[in-house]
Amino acid sequence: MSWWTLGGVAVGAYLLKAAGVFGLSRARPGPVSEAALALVPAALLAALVMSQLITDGSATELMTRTLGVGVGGLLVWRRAPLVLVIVASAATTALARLVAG
Amino acid sequence: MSPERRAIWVDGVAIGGAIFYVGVAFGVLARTNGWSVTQACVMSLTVFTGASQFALVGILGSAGTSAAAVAGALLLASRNAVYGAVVSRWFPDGVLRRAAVAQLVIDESTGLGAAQRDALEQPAPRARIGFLAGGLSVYVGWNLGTLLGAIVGRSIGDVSALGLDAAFPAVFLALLVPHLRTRSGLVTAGIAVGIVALVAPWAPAGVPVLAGLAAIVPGTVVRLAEAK
Repeated sequence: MSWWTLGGVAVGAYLLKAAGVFGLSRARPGPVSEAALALVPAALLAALVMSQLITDGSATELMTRTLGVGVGGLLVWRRAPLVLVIVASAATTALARLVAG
Repeated sequence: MSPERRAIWVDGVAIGGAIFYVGVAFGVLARTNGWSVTQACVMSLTVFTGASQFALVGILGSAGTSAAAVAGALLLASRNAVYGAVVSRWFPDGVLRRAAVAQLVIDESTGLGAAQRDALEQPAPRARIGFLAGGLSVYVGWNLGTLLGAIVGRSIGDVSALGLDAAFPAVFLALLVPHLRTRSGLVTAGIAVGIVALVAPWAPAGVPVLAGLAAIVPGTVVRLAEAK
């Protein structure tokens, strides 16, 4: 891997982040864009949940991952702290993979 | 530190701890694909976008051209531009400060900031703490993990056995739940999930999340009707 490739990705990745941070700073949103902005977290977080849930992997990996996320979801519903959600969902999936071989 | 601030930091550190192991996986993968320890670490310090880094190593490793690898990595990173626009509301002042903040703009930091209840207000002190707690914890965890993985190299076992790929959707689910209390939030989230499910099987990685943001359009219609 060449340093040129690494440098290109590093500069490109930073410019993308900075474009967003510096781009919209002084905009004064009207009522419609205010309503749209309020829904960014819901859309963003839901899209992340789904895309990370169905990301690449074998059928067994997908099934065991879904099981772990299910247990995590149950704990979220029970208002468990985030640390517990992380540990329990990963442990469930790890255990299920151990059993599934 | 107030209990509320501490609680947000605990969440951030928990996410950073999980990211550490993903960093180890990245370090190992980079080494097994012929990168040096220095290259792996410099990449994690500068690029600091997990999915893009995995894509770069993966595409180069499967005999892809440098151009294809860079294009794939930057396509995945393009959602950070959208995140940056969200984050800019929390850090309206100071060119240097915002330049530093930009480096921390990733899924986890933006997600933890957006999950705070003042995320839409200005100023938004809690959202700022959420963003910084998530961003700094993940930065430390990711880079320490990369270093360890790169040094240890190939002697580590299968990382998927740890089940961490289930922890991340669970984290985002936990952050999402407070946004489902309004009808418009519920509609937006439901449509976003549907879009991702439809787009993910055929679109390149990174595109589904951006496509899912289109759910904001029908959600806005519902929200404006709610407000009346």
